[in-house]
Amino acid sequence: MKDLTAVRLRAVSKVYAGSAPIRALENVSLDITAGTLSLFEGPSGSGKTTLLSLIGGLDRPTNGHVTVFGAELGNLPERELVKYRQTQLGFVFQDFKLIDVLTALENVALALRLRGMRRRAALARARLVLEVLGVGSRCDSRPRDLSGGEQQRVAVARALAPQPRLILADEPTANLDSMTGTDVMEALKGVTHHRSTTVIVVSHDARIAPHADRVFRLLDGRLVENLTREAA
Amino acid sequence: MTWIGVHFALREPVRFGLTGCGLACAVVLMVFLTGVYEGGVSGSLSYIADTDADVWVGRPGSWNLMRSSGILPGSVGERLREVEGVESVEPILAALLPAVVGQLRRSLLVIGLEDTARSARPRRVLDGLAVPGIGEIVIDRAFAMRAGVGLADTIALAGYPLAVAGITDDTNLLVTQYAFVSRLDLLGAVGLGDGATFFLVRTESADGAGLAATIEQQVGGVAAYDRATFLANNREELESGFLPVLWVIAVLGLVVGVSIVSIMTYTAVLDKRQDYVLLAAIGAGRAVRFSIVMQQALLAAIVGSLAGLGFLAALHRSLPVMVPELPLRVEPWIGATAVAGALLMAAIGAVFPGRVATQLTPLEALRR
Ligand SMILES: Nc1ncnc2c1ncn2[C@@H]1O[C@H](COP(=O)(O)OP(=O)(O)OP(=O)(O)O)[C@@H](O)[C@H]1O
Ligand SMILES: [Mg+2]
Repeated sequence: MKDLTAVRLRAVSKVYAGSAPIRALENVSLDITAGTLSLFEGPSGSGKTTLLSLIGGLDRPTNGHVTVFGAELGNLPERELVKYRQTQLGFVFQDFKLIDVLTALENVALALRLRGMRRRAALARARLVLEVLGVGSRCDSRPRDLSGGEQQRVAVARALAPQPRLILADEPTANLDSMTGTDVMEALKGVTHHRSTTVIVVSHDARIAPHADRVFRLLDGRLVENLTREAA
Repeated sequence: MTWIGVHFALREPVRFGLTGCGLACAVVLMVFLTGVYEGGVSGSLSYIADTDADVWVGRPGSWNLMRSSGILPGSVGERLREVEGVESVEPILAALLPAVVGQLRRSLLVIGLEDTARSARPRRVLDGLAVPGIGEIVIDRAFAMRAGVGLADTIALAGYPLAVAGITDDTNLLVTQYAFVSRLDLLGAVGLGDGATFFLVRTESADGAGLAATIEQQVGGVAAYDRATFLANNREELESGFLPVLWVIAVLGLVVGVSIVSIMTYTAVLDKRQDYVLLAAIGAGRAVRFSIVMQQALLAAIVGSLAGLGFLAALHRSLPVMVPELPLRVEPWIGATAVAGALLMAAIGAVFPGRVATQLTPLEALRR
């Protein structure tokens, strides 16, 4: 495993302004090594999703620096952030977020088309990735006709197909039973091995910890534990 | 370029259909009115344009044929013939008179012709004669259909029974129709001994404008117009009556079309809010999201305007039977303008919903 830092947070704070400002993250510093699967756990409201949104360039920190693959996100203009999400990131959501008017195949191809891949090539690649994830037979189904596990695998395929360097998954197994949850985690774990993709998973799910190279624990916006797999 | 907007549109057939329908209605409204206007203009002006006259001579102030009541004495014709350069002179008498067929009462713009008429005779004759004899009338096709009369049937014109001797086309002025009778009959019907509304003058030289000036100078008490000026006068008379109404309706049609697109596309964006948020999160920039919304509106415009034109084509066939007086005339340029207009309406209507789609924050993807 190359010892390269994929994600670096330095003294990151996030305050949601309002009549009663909420300090969602306070002074978080951490490094995530490329090609590993990191897990963030913590009770509800501890700032896990907020952290993910900062790393994903969906929001900007109030203080501190978020650096991903050497690029400081805080300095990037909106246009560059879009490009960053398009070319470097894959997202997996708790509620799958598949587009219902598109078939499974089209949902996956869409992520490739957004990166400028031609239609035919995008469809071929999407089909391949769906097959690898075991849902090749459901290519032409609409999301509403798929089971939750199948939908999440399609969503994972959408995140993986463009071969991003970093995958961000927010509660990817929360809506799945433990068998399918394990399948999805294995798929995510697989890409860290095969492609040195960096994966960051946010979850309450205790079953995920065994898949993680590293476990971070958040409490009230602070990083309270930082365990390597051996220690966990 | 992704065509996901097309998927969004086509896989929501009800909403898409409603948007298309709305645009189709706006297109039909505008094309129909323009087509009827064009038909009316054509029917009004064709007769004048087709006449073989270089100069029209009437009373001062009688500057068009459709709304002129001034009468010149018949003797003016003799004085016109003496003007140098005049080849022939032909009087016509125009009057708006009531025609009765059974229960049907209509006003016709009746033109009284000499029995030797050459310059002033109607050119587009569908059946029978162009120039009526004494006791005869030549009528427009739309009036014939409406009245249910054909050759040899009788029409009462201002109380005088006349036999239909011919049927003409392109003589429908929309609000009324041309009819042609003998000038002698018409003089009797309006109670005159002799007189003419206009004298149609032909010249040996090609210079109608020059001759018109000479006539005004030498004859006196008359107004003379060369062919092009007289045609323009009549067009002006028509346009002053119709065009303002047409413009108001066109603008209303545009506003309605834009509103429909805007409302329907806006609800489509709200309905698909999660999808746009997801697109934003996975790297669809503002321009891409805007274009996805625009695609949906433009597709509705293309489908809607083509459907509207299809409907009009069907109407074009059945209209002459249902409402013969409506002279619908849809030129290719009107159809092309309608499609362009629908695209414009869609483009304008999609701007606001498109902006809504661009302003959704991708952060929402993580905050269900
Ligand atoms: N847009 C926002 N505006 C105001 N407060 C917010 C916003 N987003 C998050 N918060 C607050 O920030 C804190 C951290 O929220 P966050 O969603 O990161 O928690 P979480 O660890 O993901 O929780 P959960 O496990 O329930 O998903 C919470 O108190 C939340 O109410
Ligand atoms: Mg959360």
